[in-house]
Amino acid sequence: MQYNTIQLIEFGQNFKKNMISREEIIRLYSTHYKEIFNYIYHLTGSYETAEDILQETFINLIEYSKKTIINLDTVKSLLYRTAHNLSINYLKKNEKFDKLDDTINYLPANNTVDDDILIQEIQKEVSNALQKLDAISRSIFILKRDNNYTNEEIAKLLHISERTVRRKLQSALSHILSHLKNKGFKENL
Amino acid sequence: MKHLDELTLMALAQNSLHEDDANKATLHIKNCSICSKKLQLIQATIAPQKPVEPSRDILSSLLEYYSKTELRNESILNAIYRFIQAYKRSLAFSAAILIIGIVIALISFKPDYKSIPHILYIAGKTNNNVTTQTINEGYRIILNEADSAILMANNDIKFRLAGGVDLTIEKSQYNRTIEKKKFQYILTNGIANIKSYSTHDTMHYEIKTPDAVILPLGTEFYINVSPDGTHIYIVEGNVMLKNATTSETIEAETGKLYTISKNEITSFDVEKYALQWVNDIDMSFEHLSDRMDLGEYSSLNSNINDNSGKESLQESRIEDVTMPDIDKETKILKNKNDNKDIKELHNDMHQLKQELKHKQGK
Repeated sequence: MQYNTIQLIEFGQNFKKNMISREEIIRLYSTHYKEIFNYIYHLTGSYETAEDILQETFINLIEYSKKTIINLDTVKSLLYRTAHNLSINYLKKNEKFDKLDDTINYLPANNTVDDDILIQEIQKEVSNALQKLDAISRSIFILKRDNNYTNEEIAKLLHISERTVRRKLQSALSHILSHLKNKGFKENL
Repeated sequence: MKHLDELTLMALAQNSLHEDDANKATLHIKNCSICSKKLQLIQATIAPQKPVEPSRDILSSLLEYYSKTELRNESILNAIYRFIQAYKRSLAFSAAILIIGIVIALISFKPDYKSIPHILYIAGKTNNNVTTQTINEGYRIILNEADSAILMANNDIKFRLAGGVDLTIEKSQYNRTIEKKKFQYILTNGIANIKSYSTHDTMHYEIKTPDAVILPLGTEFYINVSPDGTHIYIVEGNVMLKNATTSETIEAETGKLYTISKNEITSFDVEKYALQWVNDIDMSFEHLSDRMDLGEYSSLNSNINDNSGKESLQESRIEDVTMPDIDKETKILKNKNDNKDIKELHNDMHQLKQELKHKQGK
């Protein structure tokens, strides 16, 4: 199909209208970068990868906005889905990784959320246990833990059924608890 | 006592249970140390993680990417427009030259064919005048009932047209490339005697009637077009007949009368003199012969074997029409011993002589 010059110019104008604005990019990034970065970080277990994937997620959003009008009401879910897919792709390529123990060192030193050493120990073990789970179960657990999403929301986000979400969450939780028991935390609590 | 499952405990820890369920679960935990310990463990498991932040400035990278994308879109999509704006005059000038070039090419193009004129002699029955005119393709001849006419197509075809004929010269061309003449006629009504003198190698001609397409291949035949169909009587040679409606094609034989109507082609053996309309047209030309300029007629015939095309086109012009000089005519004919139709012309002359003697006697 061929276009004449006027059609091309009109197309170009519409194209620019559709494309997400610079201000919108700044606003969306500032609002969502933290939670999405954490989600990717916990899912992939790699800090540097999380940075790369976060950047790629927003680049995908810019490219996507050229083709279609972005609905700002559902943009958060779009960002999560993109981040999830990119992370899964990364995990498929790098099946062997138990880098989380190393990457823990990257955590900011001025952390004030919880100074309780025991809780920190438990969370470290939870992270270790998570790495032994499949990517979807891990993703569900992280979304539930960090975002307190309902099963329905997670199902929509990951394009799976609610029943699967419930089943995977149950098995993930059982796996983590048994891992903690093995590490002797039950007696200590 | 039934213990609480892990998902319920997790929901309780996250305060996402319904109020009734939450109350029941809390009551159970107060009385159950196992579930209580499990809840504590789950609470520790799902405790808020230390939030991490990217160390590098991803936003700056994004905005840089955004600027590049924006620039690329602008450059691709408006490049053509900017080009047109910049070179508007040059483009208009080029377009004008192109158009002029095309126009000149069209004007200087000459078709590779030349129109061949026809000569039409019309003789009225009531007066003695014979009018002569040169006509070209596209001309339509409609004869009065009282008139007769002879139409010569460059000494290649001779039409004897009886009164009431409606004949159109659709195509009359000489193709320089293949050196072949092409004639096409439409005979809508009337009776005609058609004789061709050139072979199929140098000439192609066809006659269309409402019912048939006739492709003669060097021959003589009579044709009668009337509302009930096309009748053809072949005197000599071959004629291809095609039914215009059914596309049925046959090769007509001599000595037969063919009738082509909408649905069929019929034929039966018949003597020439048994056909009234054939006799009528012959009779009308006996009458016409008295007044026709046979000097010119024979000079036309002398060119019959000259199929060189262009040259003969120029020669077939007649300025004046005079009464025939039979002695002179006979001499000319004698000198034309190589003429194939010499016998036929002798017969014509003989007839005319007898008629003149008869008149002189009177």
